[in-house]
Amino acid sequence: MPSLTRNRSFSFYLLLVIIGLIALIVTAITIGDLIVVRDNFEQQSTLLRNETEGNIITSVQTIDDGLKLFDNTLNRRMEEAFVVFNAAYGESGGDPSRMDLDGLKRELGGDMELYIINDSGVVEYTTYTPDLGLDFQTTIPYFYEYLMTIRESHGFYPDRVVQERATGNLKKFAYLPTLDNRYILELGLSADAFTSERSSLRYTDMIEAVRERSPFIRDLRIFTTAKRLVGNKSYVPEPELDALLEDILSTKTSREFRDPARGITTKYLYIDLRDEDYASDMSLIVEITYDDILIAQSLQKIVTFHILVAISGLMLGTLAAFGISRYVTRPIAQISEDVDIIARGDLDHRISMTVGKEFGVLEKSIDSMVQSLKDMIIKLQDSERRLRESEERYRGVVESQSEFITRFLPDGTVTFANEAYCRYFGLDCHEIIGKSFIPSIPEEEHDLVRAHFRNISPLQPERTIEHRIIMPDGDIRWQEWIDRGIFDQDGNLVEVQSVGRDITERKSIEDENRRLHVDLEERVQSRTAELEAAYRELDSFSYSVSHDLRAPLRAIDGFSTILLHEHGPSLPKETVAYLEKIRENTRRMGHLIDDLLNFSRMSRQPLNRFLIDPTSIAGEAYDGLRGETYGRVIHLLILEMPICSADPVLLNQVYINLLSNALKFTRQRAVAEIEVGSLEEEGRTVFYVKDNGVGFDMKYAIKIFGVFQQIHEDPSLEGTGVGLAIVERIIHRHGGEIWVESSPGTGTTFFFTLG
Amino acid sequence: MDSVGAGAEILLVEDNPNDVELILHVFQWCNLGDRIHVAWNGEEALDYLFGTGPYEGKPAWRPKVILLDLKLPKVDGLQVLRKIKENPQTRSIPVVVFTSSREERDIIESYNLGVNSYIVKPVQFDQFANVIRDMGLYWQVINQPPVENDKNKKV
Repeated sequence: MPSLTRNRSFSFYLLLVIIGLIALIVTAITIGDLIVVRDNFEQQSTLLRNETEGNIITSVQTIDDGLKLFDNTLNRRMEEAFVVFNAAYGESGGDPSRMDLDGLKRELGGDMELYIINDSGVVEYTTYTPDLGLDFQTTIPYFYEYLMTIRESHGFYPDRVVQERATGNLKKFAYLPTLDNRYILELGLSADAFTSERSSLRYTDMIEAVRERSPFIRDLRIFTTAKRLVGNKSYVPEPELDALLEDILSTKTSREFRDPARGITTKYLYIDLRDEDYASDMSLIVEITYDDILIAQSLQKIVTFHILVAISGLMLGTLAAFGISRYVTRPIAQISEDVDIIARGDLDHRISMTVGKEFGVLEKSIDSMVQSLKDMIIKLQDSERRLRESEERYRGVVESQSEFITRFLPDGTVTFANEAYCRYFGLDCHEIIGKSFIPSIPEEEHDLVRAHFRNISPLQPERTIEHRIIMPDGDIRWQEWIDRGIFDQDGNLVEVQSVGRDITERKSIEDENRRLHVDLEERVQSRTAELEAAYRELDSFSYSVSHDLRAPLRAIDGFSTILLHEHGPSLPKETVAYLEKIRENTRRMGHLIDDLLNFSRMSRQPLNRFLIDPTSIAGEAYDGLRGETYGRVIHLLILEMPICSADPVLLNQVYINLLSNALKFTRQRAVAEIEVGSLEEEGRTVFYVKDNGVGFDMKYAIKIFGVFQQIHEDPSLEGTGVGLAIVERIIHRHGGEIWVESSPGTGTTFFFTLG
Repeated sequence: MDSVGAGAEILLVEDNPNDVELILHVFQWCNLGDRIHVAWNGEEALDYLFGTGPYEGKPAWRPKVILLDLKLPKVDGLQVLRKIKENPQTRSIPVVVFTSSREERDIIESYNLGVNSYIVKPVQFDQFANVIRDMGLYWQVINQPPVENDKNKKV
């Protein structure tokens, strides 16, 4: 039940601790003291016992000594009786059977019994019939041995007063071996003769005395070596006790038995009273029965006393502890009260406690805590004020926005809407908050909008969408929304912030643009188709030209030639000359047609650009012009030119035409000098073909690249006027430029680049 | 010239009468012109070769060479070439395209169809005459035809 204990007061715990400590100390003291007291008590009682036992032993020995003295007083009478007895034995000639023992008994006074013991230890003859035939060897072995010893000797052997084995009556015995050492004569004086004198020395009196003096002794009994009880001759011990006594007698040691059930301890004291002068062993066993209950009761009293003392100590301690705890917790309670006051808001309240150094420190700590609390509250208030101002500013910004700003829950409940939003949808800004509002979206765009919101995730919280809405008046307008999802820590969508604007106008412009674009594309396509058709027409035109224009020319030339061949000699010279002119013109016409076709083909042929070596291409082009160089002195210099990107077939054509041109215009020179090379200019490579030909006036430079343009009047320099046009066309198709530098009489240089 | 048609060694397919005139003239000069048959269009050329149309029933002859113009009325020269080269009977007859066209596509197409030679008619008559003479000599005299079948016997 931790919730309960948690609410207990500090003083309660303090009290609990102190009481616990007191209880511990009191218990420890009580138990310790109890142990000491009990030990003392037990030691005392043991001492007392030992003392009592010692007293008993001393008493017994004293009594025995007294009895011994008394017994010896009877010796003289018995010694005298033996004289008679021994004489009678002598008279019988050593044959006891001839002796009159009863007569002798009477003669000796009648109070003494007569016995004759043979060499086997058996009472062979006696006046006391109960003992006739008694075999000492089997009944009292130690006594038999004694008898056998004295039988061999001579003299009087008195014994002590002992209890008779058969009856338990007291008798004083004495022994005398016969002169022939064959028998032992024995006399037994009956107790009646001395009982009155001996009774003053009775063990029973001692027992009574000891009992009276020692309250712890419940019973006291004395056993003889014959296991007879002193003072009670009829007592016969039960077999268990008999065995115990037998054991004690044989080992000659004392024993002690504790019986807690009956509350007694039984002590068997073996008192050794043996005397070599006498045949009988007079030792005694004193059985002392101690009363343990008395000791236990005394101990019980001691324990009770200690417990009572402990309880009173505990009670006193508790009272003291209560007082102390109150005293100690009082300042804490006061501080707590003060702190309570502070906690209720009175931050200027001071802690008034000044008792003890520790409380002083606590007081200071609380004061500084209160101070920092004050500072914190001031800061908090300050930041709250600033937050409020910032929120107001923010609200101002949001409200003055022309863009629509709204926030709503996943179920469509509006949590915020700015004025622009409300105005646009014709809503009351105050009413709409907390209500569900979803603008009407055309059916066909539902899936789009749904997918848009479904795709907003913590990984991609912001998405933009354009869609249409149906305004309350049925007007359809386009809007663009930037939706930002706000997620909780578990990634669940809790709110959506939407910023939107009307883009209907933009959309219509876009639509128009798109329409125009499509229109343009269509037009481009149709133009392209037209252009392609034109190309095809041009193609078939070239084909027709090549075919149809050549045939008539061939016919003209052919028939003219036949005329000249077959009828030349008979024709007038003038006719022959005309026919020659016809043939010359057909030849030129053929060239024109070929060049024209070439030019057209060059324009249509696709451009295959790759990296090529212009040096080797120029060389190959020159090699192809061998027909024009025959018989002339020409210094041709082809310089190393850098690798460039160009169509090799077309570049070859360029060099063919330019070199052909150079060869043609240097024909009048004795040594034609032609140089082919390149130079770097403004970061680009400029190729050139230079000759030392006739050159031309630069005012014709513009005309030079025109088709069928001839600038030389010299008929030997006439060409078809297509070659340079083809060159220009090829250069332009490469994205390059071509220009010429020339002056009449010094030569011409063509420059070009390849883009 | 039709009189020698059936047994002609050269079949000339040409629609331009000027060219025919000039070609035959050159052949006469070179003494090669006595066994030439002229087909004026593609259809006629095919009829002559396969014994169809006007030539039905007449024995079909294998000329030593066919001179074929490309730009022809009715059946175009390239089609005539295809028919000749498709048919096992006429496939082995050498065909020389003799045309004004130096268009690349004509040259490539002709060779694709299996033409044996492609010669552009020069515009200059001197060269024209030289070409015809060389050609006549080459195909009629120098070249060994695929099957020597007893002077152009029936197939």
